[in-house]
Amino acid sequence: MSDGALATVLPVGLLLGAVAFAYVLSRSKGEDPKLNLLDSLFRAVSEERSDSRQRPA
Amino acid sequence: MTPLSLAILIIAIALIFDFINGFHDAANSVATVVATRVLSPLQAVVWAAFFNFVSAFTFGTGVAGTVGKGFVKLSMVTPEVILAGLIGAIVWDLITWWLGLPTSSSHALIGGYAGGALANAASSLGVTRAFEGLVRGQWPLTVGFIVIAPVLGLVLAYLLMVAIYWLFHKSSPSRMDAHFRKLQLVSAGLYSFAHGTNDAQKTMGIITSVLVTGGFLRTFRVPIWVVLAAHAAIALGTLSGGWRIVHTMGSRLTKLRPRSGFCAETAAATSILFATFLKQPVSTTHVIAGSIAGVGSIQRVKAVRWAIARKMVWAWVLTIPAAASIAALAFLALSFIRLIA
Repeated sequence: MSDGALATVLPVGLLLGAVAFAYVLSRSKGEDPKLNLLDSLFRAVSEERSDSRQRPA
Repeated sequence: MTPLSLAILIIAIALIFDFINGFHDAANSVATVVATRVLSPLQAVVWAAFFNFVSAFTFGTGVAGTVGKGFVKLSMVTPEVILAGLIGAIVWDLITWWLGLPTSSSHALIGGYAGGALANAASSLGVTRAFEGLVRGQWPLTVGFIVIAPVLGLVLAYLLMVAIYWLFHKSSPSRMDAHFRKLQLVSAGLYSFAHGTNDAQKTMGIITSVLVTGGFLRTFRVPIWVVLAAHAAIALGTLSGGWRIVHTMGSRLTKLRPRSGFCAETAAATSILFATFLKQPVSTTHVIAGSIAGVGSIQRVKAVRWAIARKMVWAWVLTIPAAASIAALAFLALSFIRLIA
């Protein structure tokens, strides 16, 4: 394969691969570590709020 | 492979990294505004991706310069070094995603790039002179900002909450939230704007290094097409990652008050924009997590979940050396392939 053809095929192939990868990832049902982290922080904030009836300051 | 084909290959991989960065960080951009029920998950994703892209037209390219030439000696940078650095960052991102660790793509990229340069210096100058592949440059400030940025987010969020309670002490909670439901549209946009401007510039720095080392650019100046491509890649990554959230966990998020969301996002955006102004790449994940902890700590310090903080500190400590090690191995593998090809 010539370099010119390679220079065209590579990015197009990678782009198609990335789109396929993104599609597979976006359909996956696995855990999202960052969403889990933020949700546990939200839980801490709302638990504290429901525990405490007094407003600070 | 000619220098042009190699450059195109590395640029394509850099843009894939940028896309994965957006995908990885989509939760940071959408979770808070979804948790307060101000926007639906789908609206939040579109809002975040829009501001990720719009930020391309502001704040210059200072962070790109820091990433591209602030950590490694440019004379030690070859296309293989950059490729190895990207492989190190992407592999570490995927491993930590698999392990459920909330690590920073930014630190992985910096570590990977440094690991590639160290391996190149070790193989060309000898193992004892490996550290000649690095420059002191931005390391102290950038390593300092690993701690400063989230702590700044935490303190700002705390102060904002105190100020809001003081300003609205005569308002009823429901009236207060009515105001902050509107204001949170601004804070969510501002956060995604800050995220876009800091994170996309890291990829710009890498791509510009490829162009300089390949001889396609004479000086380290980020071309406009690189700016647009990097912002488009991160915005598409946010859309894609957000789409996944919409279909999986979006509606199950713990409910948060709009005023808490507003304070967390505004504090995080301010901290990230401050770092961007100082040309420092920071972890947007750590900053938004620090800011949410700041909102929680207004009640009691107990609201800061130390188990989570410990997990994050481990992620901070491990990311740069781990990505650097993977990149060094990738560099050695690439050199071996080149030798036998």
